Amino acid sequence: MRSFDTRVDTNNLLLFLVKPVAIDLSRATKLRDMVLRPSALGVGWITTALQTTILKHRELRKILIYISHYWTSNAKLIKRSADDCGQWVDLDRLLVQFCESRSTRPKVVIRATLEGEEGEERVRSLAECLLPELTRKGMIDLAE
Amino acid sequence: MQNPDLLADLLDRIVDHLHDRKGALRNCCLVSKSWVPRTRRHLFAIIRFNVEVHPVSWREIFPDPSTSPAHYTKTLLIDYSDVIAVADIEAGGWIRAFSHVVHLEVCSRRRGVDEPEFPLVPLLGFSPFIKSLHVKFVALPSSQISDLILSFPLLEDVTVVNGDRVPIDDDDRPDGLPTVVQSSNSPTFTGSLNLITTGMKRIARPLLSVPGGLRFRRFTLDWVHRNDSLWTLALAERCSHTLESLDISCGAFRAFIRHPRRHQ
Repeated sequence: MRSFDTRVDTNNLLLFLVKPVAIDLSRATKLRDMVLRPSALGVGWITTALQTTILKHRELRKILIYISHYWTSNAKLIKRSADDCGQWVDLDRLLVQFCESRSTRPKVVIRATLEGEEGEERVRSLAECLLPELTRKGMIDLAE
Repeated sequence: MQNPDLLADLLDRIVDHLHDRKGALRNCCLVSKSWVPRTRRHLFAIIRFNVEVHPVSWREIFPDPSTSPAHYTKTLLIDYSDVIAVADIEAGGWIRAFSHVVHLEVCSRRRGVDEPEFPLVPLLGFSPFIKSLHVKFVALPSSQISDLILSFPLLEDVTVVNGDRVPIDDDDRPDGLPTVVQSSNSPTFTGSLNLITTGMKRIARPLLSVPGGLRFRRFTLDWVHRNDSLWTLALAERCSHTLESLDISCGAFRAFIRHPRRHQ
């Protein structure tokens, strides 16, 4: 049985949670694809960035949410932080709104680096856990 | 033996067809002097220097820069070490012979106390044709990397992977961003910018003040420190009118995980 011993610097963690970074992409109207990589600091900054793209960005065709193996190795940590902060709920809701607001639906892909043969199933579970509404509506593609 | 001279177009086609077969190209060099220039164009297109293939050896084999095949090199890969930096001083600037390089990669895999203080200085502006630059160091002051970036006037693509050894302080916030001055002699910066580094300020600030502005179309930005994120933000916003692809992440999680250990 393998496990990872990790130590989290909560002082720095709190710094990010209290005051998330706001990325304004409202002027980046030529943006065609985005890769966003959640971290243990939450996904609030991703939601904030996406909110600035919703209205104007008709060129945006693909959003890839890339979850690193740090997360997949610490599923409990992810779920707990997601539950605590509600940030994933906001992101899920925003992505659904984003997809439904366009005639040509942008491609939303969740990708995770995993070990083992059951990779695809684990990515699906991860998607259902973190982005339930988007997954239920079949608006998300899985990639390994 | 028949005259090996061929029509130039025909010779070019034959040699170009062999571009990835080093053995065949070496044999071509032996056919005729007239075959040598076209063959060298492929044989020396990519040069990698490291401890095994050392600049001093290069200098010994090609002592005259005017006849050196260095000017055929389009891609130069330097696995940096203090040995190579010293070699440059001893050989009187061997790097200057590589004046037609378009793609440059410089890396150092170690963090050594014996590393020269300014390892990139010999490389400043050595080729005016460089369009793509990849710098990967373990711990180098970012100001040195920005000096290198700004020394190439045609630069389009930039990749920096570095852990800046200079401490980050509160002065690293992007207050009072520099004003852009329009000029036709600045790097074009129309390709991709990949920054995975601490000490973002020392890379970002010179870029933000570059005459002509930034027109990057692709970004990969990974920050660790909160102040780095603010500089990331400034870069993204400055290029927002040209940005087509954005890959952005907060690498802080890696910084928070200390000494990961795997147990059986």
